[in-house]
Amino acid sequence: MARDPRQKEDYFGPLRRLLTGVVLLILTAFFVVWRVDSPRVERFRAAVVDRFVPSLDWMMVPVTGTINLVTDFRSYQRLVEQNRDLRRELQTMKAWKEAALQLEQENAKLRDLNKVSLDPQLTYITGIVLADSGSPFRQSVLLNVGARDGIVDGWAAMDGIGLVGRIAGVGQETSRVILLSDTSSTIPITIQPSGQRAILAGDNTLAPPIEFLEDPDQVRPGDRVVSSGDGDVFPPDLLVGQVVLGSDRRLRVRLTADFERLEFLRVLRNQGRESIVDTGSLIESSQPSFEVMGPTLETDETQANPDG
Amino acid sequence: MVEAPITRVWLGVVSYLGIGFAVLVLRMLPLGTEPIAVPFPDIFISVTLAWVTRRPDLVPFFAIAILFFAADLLLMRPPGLYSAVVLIATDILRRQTDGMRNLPFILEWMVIAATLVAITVGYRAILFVTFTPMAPLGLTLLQLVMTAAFYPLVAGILQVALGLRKPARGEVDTRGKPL
Repeated sequence: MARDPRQKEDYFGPLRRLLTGVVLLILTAFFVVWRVDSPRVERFRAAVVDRFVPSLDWMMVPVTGTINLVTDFRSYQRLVEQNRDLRRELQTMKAWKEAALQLEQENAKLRDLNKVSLDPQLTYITGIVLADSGSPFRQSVLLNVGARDGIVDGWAAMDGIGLVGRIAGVGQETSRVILLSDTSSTIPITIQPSGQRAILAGDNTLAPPIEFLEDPDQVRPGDRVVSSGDGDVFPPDLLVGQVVLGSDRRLRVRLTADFERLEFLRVLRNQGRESIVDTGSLIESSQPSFEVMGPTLETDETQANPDG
Repeated sequence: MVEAPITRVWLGVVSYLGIGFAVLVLRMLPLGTEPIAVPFPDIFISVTLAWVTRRPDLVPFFAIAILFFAADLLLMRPPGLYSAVVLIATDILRRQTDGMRNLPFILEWMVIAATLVAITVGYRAILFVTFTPMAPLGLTLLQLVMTAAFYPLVAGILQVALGLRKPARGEVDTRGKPL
């Protein structure tokens, strides 16, 4: 073995090994720092994604477009079948539309009676989905709106109808939405007719299980699930989905939002609610506040009188 | 044989980086945003392992470090750890390439599968020790099996498309140095 192929390593071997060691050390140090001080490194990550992903747009958009085109084309082949399905669906929808119109009128009447004003602060910012998590273990998408547009960590993201997830990680121009199906996503929910509170915990499927449910007997498949305002995580009453009974006999929620193709998401501005922190000052409050209360009570009465 | 060998090495490095980058971007396309039952094979790691087994001189460790660290950041993995594990694994594999030169493909496949298992076990062990939240075990195992199963396909495509194969005994580069 006069000409051992490893011979060439003799010159660069030690240097190369040293460099490998240094790189390994840096990588390990990065991991350790991340484990110790996660927020700082996550901010660094958000900054990198911020720089990197939007500049790939020129490449990612056409490729995504082309692949979607191919998928769409394949669906054209099933056009007749699809048409029939759609027509049937339309029939059902018409029935629903009637019901919805009646309900809307009723609702308007009731609201008028009740003098409810919907929360004027609940406005939204619409963002385009730039990229998904790229890993089968993580369910998240990247939006093209970020701190520049006033996005704040923890706000809710919806598609047109249902809740999709919450903002976790905001860069200057991008922000990441952790989807409800992600294993690290847990949100407080209310199950509608019975009004029970529970937690929806993602488990990498399209139908996350309901956890911490007090009385499962009061919940039936088909019940509506909305977000509850508990813990100030989300604004209350955003539609999440419907209760279904999973094949493992657990109660799960079939999500209303169309997770198959998320393109545009609405991020709801949530300014948080005011909370009452102290009990005190009502009794010892100064005179003027009574004066303010007095007239308003009177006007309420005068308004109420003609009705009664 | 006009081009200098150093250019060919760089060509190899650049094509490795290019392919790795393309695979990374393809994975991030927002095509299917719903969770899937059977994860896709991890093409990224199979490409790297195939390259290291065949032509270790064309995949310098810094290329692997850069690509995998970028992937760690973009794919929301704990930054640095997976790249470090892969770097160690490829370095061990790199030293075995002389012995693996004459192996039949089946045996090479088994070595690669063992490497994949070692990477996964090492990665998860460190995550476990540091109390880091992990992906579900079932999904990880499924992806491991898928990646190992698809390795021949990846290696075949690389061989056909880029001519990436093990150099024969006694083969020399353009400068006459044995490969």
